Amino acid sequence: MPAALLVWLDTVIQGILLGGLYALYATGLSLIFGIMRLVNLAHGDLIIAAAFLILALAQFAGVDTLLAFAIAVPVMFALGYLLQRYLLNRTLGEDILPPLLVTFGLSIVIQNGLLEGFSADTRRLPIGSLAGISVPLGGGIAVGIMPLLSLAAAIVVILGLNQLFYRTRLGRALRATSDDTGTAQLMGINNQNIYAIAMGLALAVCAVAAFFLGSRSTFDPTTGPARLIYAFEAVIVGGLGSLWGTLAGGFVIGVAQTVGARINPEWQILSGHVAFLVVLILRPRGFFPRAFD
Amino acid sequence: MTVASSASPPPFTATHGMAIRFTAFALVAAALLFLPIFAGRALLQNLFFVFTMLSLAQYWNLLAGYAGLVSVGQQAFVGLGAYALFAAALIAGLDPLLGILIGGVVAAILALPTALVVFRLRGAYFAIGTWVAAEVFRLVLAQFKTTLGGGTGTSLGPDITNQMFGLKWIAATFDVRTPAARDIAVYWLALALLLGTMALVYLLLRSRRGLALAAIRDSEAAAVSLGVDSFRTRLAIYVIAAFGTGMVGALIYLQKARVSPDAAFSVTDWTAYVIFIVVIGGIGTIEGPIVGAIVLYFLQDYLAHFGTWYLITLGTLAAAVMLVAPKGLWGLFAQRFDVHVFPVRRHLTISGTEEFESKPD
Amino acid sequence: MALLETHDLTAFYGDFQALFGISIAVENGETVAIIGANGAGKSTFLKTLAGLLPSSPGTIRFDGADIGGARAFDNVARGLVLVPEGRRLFPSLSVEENLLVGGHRRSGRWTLARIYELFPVLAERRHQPATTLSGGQQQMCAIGRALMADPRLLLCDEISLGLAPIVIRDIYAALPTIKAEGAAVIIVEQDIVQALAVSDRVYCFQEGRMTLSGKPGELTRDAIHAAYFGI
Repeated sequence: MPAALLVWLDTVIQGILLGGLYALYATGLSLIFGIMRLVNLAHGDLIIAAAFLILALAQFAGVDTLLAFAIAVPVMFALGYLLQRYLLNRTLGEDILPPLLVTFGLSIVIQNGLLEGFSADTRRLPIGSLAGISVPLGGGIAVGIMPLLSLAAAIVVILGLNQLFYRTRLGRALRATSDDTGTAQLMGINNQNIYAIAMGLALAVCAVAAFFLGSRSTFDPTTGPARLIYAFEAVIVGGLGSLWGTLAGGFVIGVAQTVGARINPEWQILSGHVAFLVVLILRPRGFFPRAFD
Repeated sequence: MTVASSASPPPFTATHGMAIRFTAFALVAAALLFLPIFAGRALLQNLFFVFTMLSLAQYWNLLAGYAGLVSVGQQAFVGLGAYALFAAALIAGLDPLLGILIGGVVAAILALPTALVVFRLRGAYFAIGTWVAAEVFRLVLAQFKTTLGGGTGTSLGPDITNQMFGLKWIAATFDVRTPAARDIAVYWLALALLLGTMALVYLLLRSRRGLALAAIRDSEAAAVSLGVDSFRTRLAIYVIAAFGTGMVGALIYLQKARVSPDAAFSVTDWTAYVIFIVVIGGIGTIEGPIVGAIVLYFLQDYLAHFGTWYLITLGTLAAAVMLVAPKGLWGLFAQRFDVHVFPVRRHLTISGTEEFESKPD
Repeated sequence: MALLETHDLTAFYGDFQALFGISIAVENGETVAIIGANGAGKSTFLKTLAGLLPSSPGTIRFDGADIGGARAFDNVARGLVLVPEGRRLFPSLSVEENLLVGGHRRSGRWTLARIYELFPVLAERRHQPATTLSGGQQQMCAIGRALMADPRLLLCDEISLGLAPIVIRDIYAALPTIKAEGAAVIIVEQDIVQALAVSDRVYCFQEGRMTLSGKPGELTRDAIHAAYFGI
């Protein structure tokens, strides 16, 4: 294979691996929009908060990073449950302003709270020797173990959530609530509780995203909003239909970013945005839209 | 665009006490106009901050509080206005005063293609879409390296700012040095923009189109069936808000005399504070943002040296207001005492059967 | 003691009052029909009973408990189940999943197998998305979904609306089986003949007020006409 082609192949592979991470950012956002039509502007900051939670456990409590990650997942679930149950449920209704403005306020509070608690220093999760391992794919292309694992994690998370949605009683209740909240209540489904569980799941996924974000790149308290934007782009590009669509959307944004960066390193983020805008103009409902709305 | 023509008669019932209100309003405006005779530079600089933030807040309120367009990307137009002024002054060598107008025009022109993209997103997704648009403008402007300094930005030298139209007259009249004259000049410009903004928003909301806005906000489906062209009305409001926001942005950065993409397109500085002003003061009223700007100003005095705590307090306060008193501080006050300084409330009776109220209360 | 009693029940949509002082009683195992013209407040009454619209404490008693102001999902747990107007099946769920979700909070005598016995056509289409069914089959699915919660009082809102007469007959044919399980039923119907034929007692609503009550055999055509149209 010609060397130039290999370079581009490598670029696309790196983009798909990056897209896996973006899909992890996006899954929670997609989930809560699907179930309660809530757009959480603090989503990115909650991912960063989870990364700091893992960091705090690993550095200050001296726990192994993997164990800290395992602790963070249920902690974030509980946080999401409580946040929705006692704060965000009160914002839901016909008017879109209260949820938007309350989550925007939350975003600013989390960012500045993290700045206060952890300073503006750039951090990285300590994962020891794992960070250096790379897997050769042949032809001189090699991929890092963490990027590979983050894509695997995205696939596992989406598979797991789909099992939950399509194979369990809770999943049925979640889908029924997503279809029609009022009628779901006529089935004895407590929608407030369902919303809280959905937010719990979304933040548990945020913890997974945070682990891979923090172990493959650096983060600081102000990096949340950019994660929200990548997540949002992946959701819209994928279409509001399925989590697999969200994964595809993540790939589109990831590949656009690595291809852009290959042309000019300064164009990485811009290329992702441009890809998003092009999809929005050509296919406003994304690649895998819902069959009904 | 003729949106709020003063020639069109008030279509519905007149409000009382208008003469008294306008007299009081004119007195306050006159007092602020002559303030530079007595006031020191610090007060003028503080008021410059309050006036520009309040103008931004009025435009955001017009979008979110009246047209239902909840944008978190208005920093796009602050930044575009600022960069248009810098480009006009640095590249074309134009007077910065003209640059302010150019800032508004450039923002309005670029608002059109932006709207065509972000209007494809509904409701809450529109909000993040506007944010993406602002990021795109920020990243694109960072690419202009030789002319506008790229990512690190550029500044307006004294050779440009000191040549601004009218500065010599101010320096001579007030018998001050050029930096102090510049403070007075930008203070007057901020005051003029604020008064213009308030007049524009007031007339807009009292016009037939203002009524259409209230109808859209209250129910898009109902408004469409009443024949309100919602897309065109929203587009008009979006472009008007971009024009005003662009002019304010240009003025803010004329005063700072230094611009960079990260600062001019900052979501915290140009959108978060603005949203907090409107929400805390009271969304959907003209008075609300005024109250909010005053609260922001005093909180800043008390909390500025706590840095991050200032934003934490504002964010918490705004969220709490949204949950507990969605009409804000002004809403609480107006409800308690039934006061309206800028009444835009009117009743429209259709076929004598249904009544629509054009005022959020 | 009656299974359901309302006492001076009112309901509002914002400022608009839709019900004025409704007091009725439904006994265990009884079938009650509510008739009235469009906009008489029949559906509003059922929605208020189910908890979809707010009511005041003390205005509704079910099985001896005050359920005024109770939430819809808690009423289901007590056995008060509504078949909503327009079926309202969950479009992303299959027929069988729609039935299963009906038993989310409460279940009992009615199982999937018994629903399929009652409405065999649903068994054939159990894996189809519910919205691909015909109108009559969708109504069967909606009734089956409500039965999965083992109702003590089943509220049926306009179950024959928009359906062909032969389909309506099939649906009403299921009523004796449902009653045989001991459930009381309130049906809201615009079709007076159908309502009178199946009910033990009839209430007529007009503009949010109850204008007539009695046993079907005892009511004259003129009395019903007057109560229905307010002439």
